[in-house]
Amino acid sequence: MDFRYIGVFLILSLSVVALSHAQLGEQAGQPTMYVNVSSSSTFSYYILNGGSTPISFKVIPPSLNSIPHNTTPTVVITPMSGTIMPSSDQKVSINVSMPSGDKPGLKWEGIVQVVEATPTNVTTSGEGAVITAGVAKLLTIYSTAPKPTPFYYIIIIVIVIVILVAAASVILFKRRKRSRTAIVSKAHRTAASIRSARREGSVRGTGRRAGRTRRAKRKSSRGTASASRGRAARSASASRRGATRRRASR
Amino acid sequence: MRTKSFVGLGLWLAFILAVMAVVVYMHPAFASPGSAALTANVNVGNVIYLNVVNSSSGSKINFGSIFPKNSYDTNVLVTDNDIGGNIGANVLVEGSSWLNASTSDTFGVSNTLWAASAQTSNTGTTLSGSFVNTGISIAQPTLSTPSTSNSIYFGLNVPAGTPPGNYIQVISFENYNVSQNIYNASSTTNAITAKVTVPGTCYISLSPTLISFGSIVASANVPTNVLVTDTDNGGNVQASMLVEGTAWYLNGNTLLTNFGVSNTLWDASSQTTYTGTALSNTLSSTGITIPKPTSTPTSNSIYFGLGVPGGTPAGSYEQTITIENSC
Repeated sequence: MDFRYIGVFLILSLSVVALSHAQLGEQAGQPTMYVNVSSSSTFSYYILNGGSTPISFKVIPPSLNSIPHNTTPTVVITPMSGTIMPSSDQKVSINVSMPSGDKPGLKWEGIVQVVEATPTNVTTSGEGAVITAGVAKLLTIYSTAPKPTPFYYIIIIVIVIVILVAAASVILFKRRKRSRTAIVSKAHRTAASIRSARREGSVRGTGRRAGRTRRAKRKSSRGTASASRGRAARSASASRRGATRRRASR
Repeated sequence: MRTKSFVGLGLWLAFILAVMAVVVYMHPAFASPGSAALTANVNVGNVIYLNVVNSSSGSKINFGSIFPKNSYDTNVLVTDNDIGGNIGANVLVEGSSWLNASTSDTFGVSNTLWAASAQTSNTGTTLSGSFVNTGISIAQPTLSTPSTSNSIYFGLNVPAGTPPGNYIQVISFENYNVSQNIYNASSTTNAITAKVTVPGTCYISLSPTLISFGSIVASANVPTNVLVTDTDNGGNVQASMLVEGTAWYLNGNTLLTNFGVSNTLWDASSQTTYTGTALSNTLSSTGITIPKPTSTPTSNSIYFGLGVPGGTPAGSYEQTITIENSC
């Protein structure tokens, strides 16, 4: 007779002695984390031992829902296990890293579990159902728009500087071109006036007196000329000196 | 004749000098110090002064954030000074109940402890609502040491069920000379304000932690009436109960494909038949809540039942059921 398949199922009664009641606890509040894309964020809370004996615990990380075409955030919890002394607490930190390719405005949910590693009030182990206590937190994660990095700001500043420099260069170039044009036209006007003055001089007088008159005119014209027209005046003067020298040599 | 006139002149001179000496002697402007006696009296009475300070924050002490059922070691220093008194004294101390001004919630003054020396645990004498002689003495100030002081340390225990919030307590002091029945005459600061923040908390305690469904034949079941009680005996907010389980393992380690976790049912109330919600291997909300504890613990029940599939081999089977509270 094969006793393996007789279809009789037996669970033995168990001898259970309750020595003490474990009193695992947690700080109230369900964590909702808003995490920038390409960034990370941390939430911390406390788990507690309100009993008279140490509680060994382990952490079960959350299984987050998946969203098509997006990478599920990485959740790192510290510590993953440990022991809480009686009437004391243990800080638990949940760090969430949001992948760079994810879109803002997405939502993930999962449960962070802290369960007793071993029941503290069981003196015998065996058949039946072992009832383990734990505390849980519903973790909700939202992705938010990526936070600008310092590099981003640097790029913006560089672009602004380049634009300003280009604009300033254009303005300066235009001004210089305008002033050059003005100088040239002035020089032309001065030369023309000299030529006409020379022609007048040859008609009005000769000798030393005529020369003095022409020099006095030249001096007054130099005195009233503006600084921007100085160069033209100097060139005109040079040409006049040359003419004078030529006359003298004659 | 000449000799006589000299003698007469000398006598006149001696007379004039004698008169001048008498005038000088009699005039008060020429009186020498100490020559007149004056007696001054002052009656210096016994006096005690009082000035209590916390070394870091003046007239305040802050216990920070303490969870219900947790405590702060008796090591928060307050210094009691007698600055300018002239007799010794003992420190008397009393306190008010802890009060949340926003909600009017309170907890007892006796949760504050005091001790004459810093403690590494929450031990000491409970604070009273009326003045108590601590036995801590402040030495007699003297001319060379006009200021004397002594230390008193405080700790706090936050009782189970204390509602969350910010609480304050006023701790008052008196300096008292027992033999002369003299209290401090005046004081600059005779009270300090203690503060504590109590966060929201929930606890879980399960009973029993092992359940037996007894002996069952295959294709039979146990009604959903096996009780597990979930108790919160220290928290201060309502909690929700969640549950999950593993498959049944033969002899604790062999997994059978047909005897899965869902053969266990749970329900919020005791059933006379094998009925309820199938247990799952993922944590699920039961809809069962553990009410907010006050001064007494609160609890709620969950019931389990089991059905054994036909063809299940004989043996001892084990399953782990995890019940979790969330708040």
